[in-house]
Amino acid sequence: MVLNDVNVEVRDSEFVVLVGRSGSGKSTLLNLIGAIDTSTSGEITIDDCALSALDETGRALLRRRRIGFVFQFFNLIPTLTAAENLQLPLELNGVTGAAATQRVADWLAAVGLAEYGHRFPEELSGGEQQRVAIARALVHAPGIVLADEPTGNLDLETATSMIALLDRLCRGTGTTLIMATHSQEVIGLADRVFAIRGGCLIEEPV
Amino acid sequence: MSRLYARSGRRFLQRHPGQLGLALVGIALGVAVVVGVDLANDSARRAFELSSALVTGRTTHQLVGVDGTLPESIYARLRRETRIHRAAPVIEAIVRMPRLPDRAFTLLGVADS
Repeated sequence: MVLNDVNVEVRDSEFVVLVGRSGSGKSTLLNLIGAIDTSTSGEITIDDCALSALDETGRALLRRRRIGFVFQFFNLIPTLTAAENLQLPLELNGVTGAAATQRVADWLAAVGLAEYGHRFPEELSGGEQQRVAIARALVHAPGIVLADEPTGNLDLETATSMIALLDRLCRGTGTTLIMATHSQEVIGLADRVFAIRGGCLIEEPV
Repeated sequence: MSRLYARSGRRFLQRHPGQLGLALVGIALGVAVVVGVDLANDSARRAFELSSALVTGRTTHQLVGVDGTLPESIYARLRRETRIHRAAPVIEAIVRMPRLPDRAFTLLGVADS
């Protein structure tokens, strides 16, 4: 059992950081919160909705509407442009046409890539790809963003600016941010920090 | 399907013409196999129908006994009383020959109407 003593409540608009060794269960916890995996016991509740009460379709809809993901390796779709990568979650949530186009343009501008919408991921640097990924995670106003080592593939300077950007955008939109990271720079920005040790979640002083 | 997914798939195939070619060859082979099997089935069915027609002619109706037999008197009455002259008796049986006791043969006999 990877996690066995996890009891935590995360408030709206909070920035929570999960730290721990590789294999300690950070990604597992994010996958459980993001309704990607299901727990063998216990309960996870998002906005009064118990995940265990949802079937596969319900969990997919929850992920689509309420949760944005940022991954270490960006996971942008290589055959879609930056703008189209942002358009996809909107289209899946029923936002199309001029409204979608406007929102995509706004979010590309928010991450400083207003002129890069037509570029494919392979034509962008790692930092630019991660900024597109951050915009994609937030474009459909998800309420919660789960970031799994979002700076693990970036140099220190880019990583620091990326975390600051993610923090600023999440706070600006009232989005809860839960981030798993090894980066010490992140801890200073977080509202709360939890360490996972031996499967237990332990709150650490900020 | 989402318009973006369709666009993404199209671009992928454009970027990988080799895979596109293999996909098309695969589809063509699949269609060819299905058509080939269908043609073979049709040929076999047609050959069977022709063989049957050769034996029984262009039969529209058949009288068959419940146990597979029919008394000869019924054929005589049919010709005599119903005046159906374009009728012919067909004899079909599984027989064995004294010289080949281990083998069974299908015996077919058709009388000219």
